[in-house]
Amino acid sequence: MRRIAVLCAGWALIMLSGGCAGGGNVDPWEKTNRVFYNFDDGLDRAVLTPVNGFYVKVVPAPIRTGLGNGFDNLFYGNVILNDFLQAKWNQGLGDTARMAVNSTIGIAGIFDVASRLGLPKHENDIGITLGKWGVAPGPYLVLPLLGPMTLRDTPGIVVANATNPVTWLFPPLYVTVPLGIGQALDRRSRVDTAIQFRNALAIDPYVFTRNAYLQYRDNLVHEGRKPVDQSLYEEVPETSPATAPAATRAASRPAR
Amino acid sequence: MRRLRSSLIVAGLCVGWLAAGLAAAEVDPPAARDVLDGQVKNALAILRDAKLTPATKRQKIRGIADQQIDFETLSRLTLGRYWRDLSADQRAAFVEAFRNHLSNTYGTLLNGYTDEDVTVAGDLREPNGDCTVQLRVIGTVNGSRQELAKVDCRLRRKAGWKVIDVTAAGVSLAALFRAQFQAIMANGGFDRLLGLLRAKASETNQK
Repeated sequence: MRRIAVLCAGWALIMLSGGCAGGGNVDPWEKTNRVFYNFDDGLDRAVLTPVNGFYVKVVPAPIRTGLGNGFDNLFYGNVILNDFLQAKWNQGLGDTARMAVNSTIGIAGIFDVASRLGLPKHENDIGITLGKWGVAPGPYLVLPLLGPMTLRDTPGIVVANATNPVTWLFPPLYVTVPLGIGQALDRRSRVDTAIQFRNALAIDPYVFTRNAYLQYRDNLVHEGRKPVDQSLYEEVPETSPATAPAATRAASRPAR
Repeated sequence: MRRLRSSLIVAGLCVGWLAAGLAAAEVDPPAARDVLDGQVKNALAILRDAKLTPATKRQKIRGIADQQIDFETLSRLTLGRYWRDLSADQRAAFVEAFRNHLSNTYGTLLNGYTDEDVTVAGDLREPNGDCTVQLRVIGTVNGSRQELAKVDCRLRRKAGWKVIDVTAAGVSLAALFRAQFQAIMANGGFDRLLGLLRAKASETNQK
C-alpha cells in the first residue's frame, strides 16, 4: 500500500515538474522518446508488419472480427468503470448491459449482438477520465512496446489490466501467453491502415505520430466538441506584421 | 386560342424562371457542400469502377484532388510565418513538391478502400468566411452498415471553393503537416524540408 502511495506521489510530482519544466513544451523528453520511438518502429517493420501480413492472409476476416470482438469484450470493464467515473450513468448502464449481452448471447463476446440491439460500443479509459476531471495531458511519452501516450494516460496501463477479468483468475502460462499473442495480433491488425497512412504521409514520422496522438486524445476528452483553433487557418500577411492590418482572430465555434 | 395563350404564358414563365435561375447561378456560385458532394461522388465512382486499373484510378483521383484542393493556401497555412520569408521560386517549388507528395499517397487510399460510402451530413460557415462540410463515412462492421468516421472538410473560396483542410476523428491534416514543417524548418531550414518532401515523394512513387 505504501509503495502504491509513493508511486502515485511520484507520478503527481512528474506531472507537475514535466508541465512546468517544459514551459508549454508538450515533449520535454523528446530525445529519449525518439530512441524508444525508433525501437518500436524498428520492431514493427522487422517483426509485426510481416507477422500481421501473415495473420491477415491466413486467418479469415470473420474469425479476425470475432477475435477482436472477444478482446473488446474482455476489456470492456475498463470502459464501464470510466463511464461511471465520469458520471455518465446512462452510458454506464448501457455499456454494462452491452457487456452482459455479448458475454452470454454473444458467446464470450465473439459475436457483437449488443450493437444490433441498440447498445453501441464506446471508447473510454482512465486517461480520458482524468482529462475530464481537468488534469492536463502532461509530457508526451513513448514507451517501448506500448507506443505513444501522455503522462496522464499512464495509469491506464494498470487500470486496463485491473479491470480485465482474466487478471483475477491467475490463469496458467499456457492460457495467458496465447491470449497475449492473440491480443497483440488483433491490436496490430486494427491499426494497420493507420500505420500505412503514416508511413505514406509522414515527412517526420515521430512528429507526425506525436501530433496525431495528441489531437486524437484531445478530441476524445472533449467528445468532438472542442472549439476549432481558428488561428490555424489564418494566412500570414505578406508584409511585416507591424504594418499589416491585424489578422482577424475569429471567434471560436464547437468542432462539430 | 385560349389554350395557346395559356401555353404561351406558361412557356414565358418557364423562360423567366430559367433566366432568373441562370442569373442567380452567375451571382451565387455553387455552395461549398454541393461542390464537395459532387467531387466525392465522382471519386467514389472511380474507386468502385472494377474496370479501371489501380494506376488509372490513381491518376483520376489525382485529377480530382488537383482540381479540388487549394495546395497554395494549404502550403501557406502549414508553413506559417516561414512562408513570408520564401522567394517566389521557393514557394512554387514547395507547392509543387507538397502536391506531388500528397498525390503519391493516393495509392494508399486505394488500397485501404473497401466499399465505404461517404455522405454529406451538413455544413457550417466559419467566422472568417470558410465553410466546413461535414462528411460521414459509412462502412460494414460485424455484417451491418454503420458510421465509421466523421470527417470535416474545410473549404475556402478564392477562385471557387477549394479544400484547405481535412479533419478525421479530430485529427487535422493541416495541423499534422504544420507541426512537421515547423519542426523541420526550425531544425534545418527550407532546403532540408524541400529535400525531405522530394525524397519522400520519390520513395513513395517507386513503390
